[in-house]
Amino acid sequence: MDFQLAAEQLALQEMARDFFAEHSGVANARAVLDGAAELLDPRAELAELGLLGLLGLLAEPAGADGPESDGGTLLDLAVVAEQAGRELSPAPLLSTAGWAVPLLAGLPEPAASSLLADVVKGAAVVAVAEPADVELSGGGSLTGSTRPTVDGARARTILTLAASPDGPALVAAEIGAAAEAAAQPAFDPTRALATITLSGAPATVLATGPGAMARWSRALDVARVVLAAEDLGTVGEAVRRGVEYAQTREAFGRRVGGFQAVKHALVDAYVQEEQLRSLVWLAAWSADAAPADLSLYAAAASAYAADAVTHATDVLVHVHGGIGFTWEHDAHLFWRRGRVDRLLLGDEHARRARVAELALQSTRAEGDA
Amino acid sequence: MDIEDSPEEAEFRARIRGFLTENRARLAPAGTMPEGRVEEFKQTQAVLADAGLVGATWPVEHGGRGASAIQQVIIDQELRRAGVPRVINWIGLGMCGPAILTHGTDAQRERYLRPLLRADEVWCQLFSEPGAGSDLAAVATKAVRDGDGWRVTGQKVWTTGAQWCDFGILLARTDPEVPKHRGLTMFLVDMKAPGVSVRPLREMTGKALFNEVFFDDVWVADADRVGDAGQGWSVALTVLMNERFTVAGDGSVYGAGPDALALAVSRRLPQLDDDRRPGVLQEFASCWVEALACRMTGNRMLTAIAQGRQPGPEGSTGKLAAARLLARVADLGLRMQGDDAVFGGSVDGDTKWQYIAQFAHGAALAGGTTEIMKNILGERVLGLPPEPRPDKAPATAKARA
Repeated sequence: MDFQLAAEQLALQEMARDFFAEHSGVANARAVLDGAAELLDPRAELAELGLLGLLGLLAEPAGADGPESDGGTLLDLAVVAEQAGRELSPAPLLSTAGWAVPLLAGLPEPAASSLLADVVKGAAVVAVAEPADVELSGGGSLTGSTRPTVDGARARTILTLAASPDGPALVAAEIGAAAEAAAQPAFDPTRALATITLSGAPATVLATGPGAMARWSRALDVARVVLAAEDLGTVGEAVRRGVEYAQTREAFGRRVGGFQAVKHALVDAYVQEEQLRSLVWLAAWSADAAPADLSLYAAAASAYAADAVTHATDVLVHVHGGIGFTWEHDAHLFWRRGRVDRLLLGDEHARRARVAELALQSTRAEGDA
Repeated sequence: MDIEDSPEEAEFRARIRGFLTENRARLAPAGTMPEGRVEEFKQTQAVLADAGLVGATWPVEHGGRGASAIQQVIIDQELRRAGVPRVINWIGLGMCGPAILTHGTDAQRERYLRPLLRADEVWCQLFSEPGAGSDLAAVATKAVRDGDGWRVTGQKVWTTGAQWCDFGILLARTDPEVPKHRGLTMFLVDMKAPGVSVRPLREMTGKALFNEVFFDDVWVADADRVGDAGQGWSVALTVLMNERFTVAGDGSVYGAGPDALALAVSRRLPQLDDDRRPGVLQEFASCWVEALACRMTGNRMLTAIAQGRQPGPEGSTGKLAAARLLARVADLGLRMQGDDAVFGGSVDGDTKWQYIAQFAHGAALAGGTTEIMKNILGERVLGLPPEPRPDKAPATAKARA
């Protein structure tokens, strides 16, 4: 038993904290909502940070993380993602470092390895799109549409899973006239969400068959953990900001944090933060140390994260009273992140349904053994 | 990071599992409680103690094994796995013993700890009173100096197991003239002493684990005082801290952990009406995840203890989260029974979930109510302003007002 971050991870945490404090997404989020700025995209800087570059932590194929490997672990990435979540950073950790990279890592197809190399350098702007009904024709073109896609509004290349006569295929397509991101107003501006409509876009096939499907599922599990890790940071920051305000604002001759109604609401959010931290660590650790459990633990962390990020950001707005309801105050920026994040990669009900299915499966498996 | 057993831990676990397999017949059967089986339960604990499976972390000179906190956790996991009921002297082990270890004299440690470990002498905790529950420092039971001892008069309540206990750890007021937290002293009392009477209280579960305990001019030797006179509150905090640790967990200790829950759901789900299943599955997932989180947050605390560090603030969340989880799991257990949930038990006589659902209310109160735990977390961990305390004046000043 050794359930804690290692010294190198604590160092990484500190580096990430400084980086995202410098490249905070909070003020940028408001400016984007106001139409006064473009969304920040510090991917080039991220690619140069640390020994490996933080975009490419998972660029070694899964299972290759032996002592000789110079790759990072999902736990390393989760530590970074938590710090990004504290600052509502629009840096492409979820779409790219935690999703596109594990999807591409180790694919033999030359198109995949050259795309991966560009992604890790911060040169290629990609997004992974969950398909709504994407089909690959015999002629190699894509039709249909995707679900709302993180970084879909700024990606130049999308990766998705298409149905084809030969089974599911992992494909890449360039954004252009036949692959368009629909423009919709942003609820949370920091995720660059967009639905992509495909009308005959040429596809680059990267993998096919059961291997493609397994790779897709695993990358989705990794992305669930990274999303939960970002939400952990958002929850922690919501608690910190809520506590800070409750310690200074006075009413009825007392600081409002002394009233149990306020104090207990903040404590509930704080307990959620600590429980979520434990679940994120477990899920991230399992990716490398107990891969057979990754799906279950990723589902557990993501189910808890949905409730925690919704609740903590609600509490943040509410304990601020009227000031928290104003456009000028930052509270609603965190609330927006929470309201949107809980719906990505399956809403809270879908996430719990997944936990139930996987937990009961493992119970039955143990019963048979 | 690693949540699996290290090779040494795995070897230790195998040794414990081997012992329990060999000796299972000498231990109380699964699902039983001490009521009506006191001798059998004492015998069970003696067998475990002789094998070093209770109080393993205690120093060797007091009957422990000097084991690590993680080794004790492994032992407890293996005991649960083998279906061994919680030992009869769990309050002695979890709360009274640690208080004696931390604050007691050498003579007290020598006299009391070994019999406590073997359940030759069973212990209870004499803290709450009719007028002092959450506000524990308001205890009014008096201890007045009398020669080389003290005379104790007053009433305690919610005393778990007092009817089969030999000794208790008692919080009493020795100085009513100072502010209430400073006028308390802790004593070890013989439950068979003249003037002690025990009256069982029946709880909402229908069982009578609780008692009222009356002290009528009971003599206690000064040698059985724990800590200095007036230092009772700091001894009490040691006990309470240990109690909260004992009460926390993922519900496994009550037979309501994630594995038991998953097993119950997989058995019962096919029998439920279609319209009840989605709700049950959602709540199951939610409870299962919370239980996993409780266990993993506990692992963070254990890691800190094992490395000789103070657990971080996450340690204080355990009791709060565990009590809430138990109530939800118990309620889900009821719901999974479908139409049987309107009865006191199923047709085949299973009353487990009904019992746990009732018991869960006690878990949310014992050792610090949910609200008290939130105050502690809010003030000591988050640094929020304290509750207003108009009661900081001496107990007598308040009585005169």
